Amino acid sequence: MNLLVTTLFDPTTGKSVWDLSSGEDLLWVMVMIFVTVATGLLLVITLYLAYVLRQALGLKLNTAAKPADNRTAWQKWAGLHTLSTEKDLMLEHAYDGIAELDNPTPPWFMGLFYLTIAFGAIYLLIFHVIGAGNVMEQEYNQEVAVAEKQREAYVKLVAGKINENTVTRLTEAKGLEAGKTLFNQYCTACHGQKGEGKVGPNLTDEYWLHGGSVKEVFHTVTEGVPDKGMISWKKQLNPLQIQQVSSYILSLQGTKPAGAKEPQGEKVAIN
Amino acid sequence: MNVSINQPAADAASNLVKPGKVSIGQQPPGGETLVERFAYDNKIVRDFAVASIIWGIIGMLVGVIVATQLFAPAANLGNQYTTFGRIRPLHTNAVIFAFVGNAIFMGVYYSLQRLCKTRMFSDVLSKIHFWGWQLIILSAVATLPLGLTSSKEYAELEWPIDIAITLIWVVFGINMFGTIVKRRERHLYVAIWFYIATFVTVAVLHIVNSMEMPVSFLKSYSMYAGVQDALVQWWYGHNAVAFFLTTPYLGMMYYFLPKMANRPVYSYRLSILHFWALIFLYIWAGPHHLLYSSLPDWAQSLGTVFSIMLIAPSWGGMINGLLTLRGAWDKVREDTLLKFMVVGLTAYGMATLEGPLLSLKNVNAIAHFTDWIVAHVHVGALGWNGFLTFAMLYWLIPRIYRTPLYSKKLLNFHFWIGTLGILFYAIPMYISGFTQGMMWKEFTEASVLKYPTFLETTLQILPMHMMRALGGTLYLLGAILMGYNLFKTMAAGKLVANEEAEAYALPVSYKPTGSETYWHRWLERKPFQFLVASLVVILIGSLIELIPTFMVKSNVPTIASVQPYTALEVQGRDLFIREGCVSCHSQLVRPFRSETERYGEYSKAGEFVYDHPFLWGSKRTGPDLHREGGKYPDSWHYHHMNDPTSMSPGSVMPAYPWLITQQLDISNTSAKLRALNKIGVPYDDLAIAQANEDLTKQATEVSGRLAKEGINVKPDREIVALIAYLQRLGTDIKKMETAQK
Repeated sequence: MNLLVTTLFDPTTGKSVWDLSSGEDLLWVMVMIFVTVATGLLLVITLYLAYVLRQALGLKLNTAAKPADNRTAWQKWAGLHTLSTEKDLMLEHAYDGIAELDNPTPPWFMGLFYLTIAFGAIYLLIFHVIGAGNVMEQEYNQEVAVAEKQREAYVKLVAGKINENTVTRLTEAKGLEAGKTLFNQYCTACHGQKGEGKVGPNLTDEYWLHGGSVKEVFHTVTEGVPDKGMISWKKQLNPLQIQQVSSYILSLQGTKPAGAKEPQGEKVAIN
Repeated sequence: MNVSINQPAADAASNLVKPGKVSIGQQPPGGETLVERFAYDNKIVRDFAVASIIWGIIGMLVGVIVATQLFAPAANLGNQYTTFGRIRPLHTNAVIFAFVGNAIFMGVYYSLQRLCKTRMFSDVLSKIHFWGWQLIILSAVATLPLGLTSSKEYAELEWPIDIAITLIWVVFGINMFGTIVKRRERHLYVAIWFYIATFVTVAVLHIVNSMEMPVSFLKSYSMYAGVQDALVQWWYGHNAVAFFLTTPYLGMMYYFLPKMANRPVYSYRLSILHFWALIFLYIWAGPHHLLYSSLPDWAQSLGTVFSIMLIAPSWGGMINGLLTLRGAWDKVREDTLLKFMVVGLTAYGMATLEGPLLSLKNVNAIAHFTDWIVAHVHVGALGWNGFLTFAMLYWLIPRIYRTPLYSKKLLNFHFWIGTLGILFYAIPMYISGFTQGMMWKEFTEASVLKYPTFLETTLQILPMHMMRALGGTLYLLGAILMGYNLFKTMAAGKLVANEEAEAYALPVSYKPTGSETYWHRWLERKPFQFLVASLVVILIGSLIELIPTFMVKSNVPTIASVQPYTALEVQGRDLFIREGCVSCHSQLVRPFRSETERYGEYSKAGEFVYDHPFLWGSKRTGPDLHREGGKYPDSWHYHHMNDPTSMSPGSVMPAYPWLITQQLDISNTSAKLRALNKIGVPYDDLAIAQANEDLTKQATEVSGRLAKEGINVKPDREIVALIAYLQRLGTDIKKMETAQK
């Protein structure tokens, strides 16, 4: 509920309309001022017109009947007159030879216009008068909550038992192949096409900065090492995928690719 | 051969206005007045026409070059002055302000004189206007490739040029109003209403958006920061479309279309309604460029609803044009100029329906930052502005040169190749935009992003980019043929520099009778009241949107851990601006799961309070960078800037080797901090005085870290500052999280 509605319909809060704390409140106050001024002006104009009308009626009553309109319903809806009647619609002025017709604004066009105005009013009403206004945040939280549930259900299904305490090294070809695909997709930018190391360390030697057991590699991939530029992959890869890619990395041991980076970290014997 | 009224042949010379044979119309009521003889200035019209043709071809050529760079980065010639980031603004400025701008002045100078039955107010002002405008364009051509840019889209030019634009615009205004004041026609025709609204609104937009704090002669910082800067920029940017690309063209459509078709305007009442509704509603719609950004929700909603309400007023212009052709459709079949007009109006109708639909948040969520938007603007630019300009040029030049067009075959060919060009441009871009937008959002059943590597989505759309470049080339070819055709026409004829005309002088006293007592007729007799009325109408929306965003602090929630950039980071940020990185990289993570998973926490308004100017961007050719800080090691950035494909195989980002060789200019560091301090960034005197000591210290640290990773680069190189800035991006908020833990 915005401040304006609160102050109008819930006076118990003891707030004044001028307790502005957000741009939205100020906006509403400005809109109300604008509406008030516009209403006042409209009132003045209406009164004036009524006065003029009374004067005019007092002088003479206009009894001239309009010629019968025998257009089809379609022509009326489209706001079209037959071309042969065009000369009757010609306004008397012309500019550099350009004449103007006194055609009405087509009814379908006015319908469209009023419809869009109604859309605008209802839209603002729903989201900013009835609703709390923080549309984006609500939408986001809802989206994330739904996705979180889905993710949990999925992880439970495919990788329910895999975590950094239970993970084991895969050795069968299928798992390693999947790991290789993932490695090529995500890891080669920093660790090289063959794991030889570029910006990131060499993954094919026996030296490890953050431990070389499958559990430790799983941990490093999952959580990342933000200080050194290794990002956390847990949002993009599920535990099964991390198990696959970790196992593939360990399968690279001793491959001695060309251009391998110098060893970093401690020597760990991998079994 | 089809004879058409728009192709004056020697035997159809009666269509041409002959000196002394001008219809002088009826004696205006209100007393006996004399017939006065005068001459229209056609030379200034010709000058603007020639400028529009030349700049149009140049601007489109640059467009084809930048389009090519998007699939073949080598097309930048390995040269820092011709990389995408620097010449993309050159393309937009050239086509908007040089091609379309000159065409507007051509159309206004031609039609205004005839609608007011008088020569332009001052030949001297006309000349100053013409040459001033060309100099401004030349200064854009000189500064943008050098990286001298404010980085605000469609307002990239630096502050001295902004001042020059203001002055020349005022000259145009005086000349226009002078002409209106000495008119020999009592009422202002609808075309002139649009010209007046254009003049006054562009003046307001340009001045407010260009408020800058100069650092030196060619460097400044936007007075506004972050969210406020974004709102002002898109209030300006959207209304540059509205009041530079739309209203003047509607005005010219109201003059040239009835002239070409020889038909009366369909509805005077529709003109009134759609004119006032259009200018009132348009000014509110800017925030639709910032949906799902850090702009407050209420402002975004205003952007949405006012865009929807714009459908009918925009279409009012289209249907008033198309219905003016009612009873003349047989002419459209034969007359290529009317074909140009019909395609132009249809493109306008499509773009103005699509715009509001893109303002719906669920459509925008897919389309924003993609090629869809590029397709949308080009339907408007190539179809509406381009085709109307071509039609006007083809109609005008033979008339003021008193000779038939050199080649009708070429004219026909231009129409078809131009139309084909638009199709080849727009269709691939729609496909590309939709495809990439969907790819960014797609999750696998495992709840992870299906395309976690941004580059995958870019590579997917490269064939579409190639087709687009082909479409652009076809369109350019058409424009070149037009240039040839029209210059041949000029060579064959002789310019009637001063076209003689005559009209009755306006009687001084005037009492409206009959239909002239209609309320709007009063306004049409009063140009200055008309100007004020338009100003009031456009100020309402502007003030209601801008004031609350500026006045109320909580619209930009302050985050304690957000600190000003260090001296080195300021310099790095200026390099980011210089290279036009913002053309391809946004700095705005939207609150979608697909974006927070890909990039990190979504952007908060309070993070941008020291961003003069804001760098949210409007297109993601590459990934968002707002959470780039700390994502990769320094060395990754070094290698990536030196050769992007070494880190991301297949990348279409150009290499920036000069950043590694060039020395950073630190002569202005203190001046920069001082300028930023004046507009609200809290640097104390010590920080300003010691700016370069601090800068060197941090640069040495960065250089040291790089050395550890085996890269030897001196701390005084530009790359060091850029890396420092990139590593800072979006990290302040992480510090807060760490502190909370």
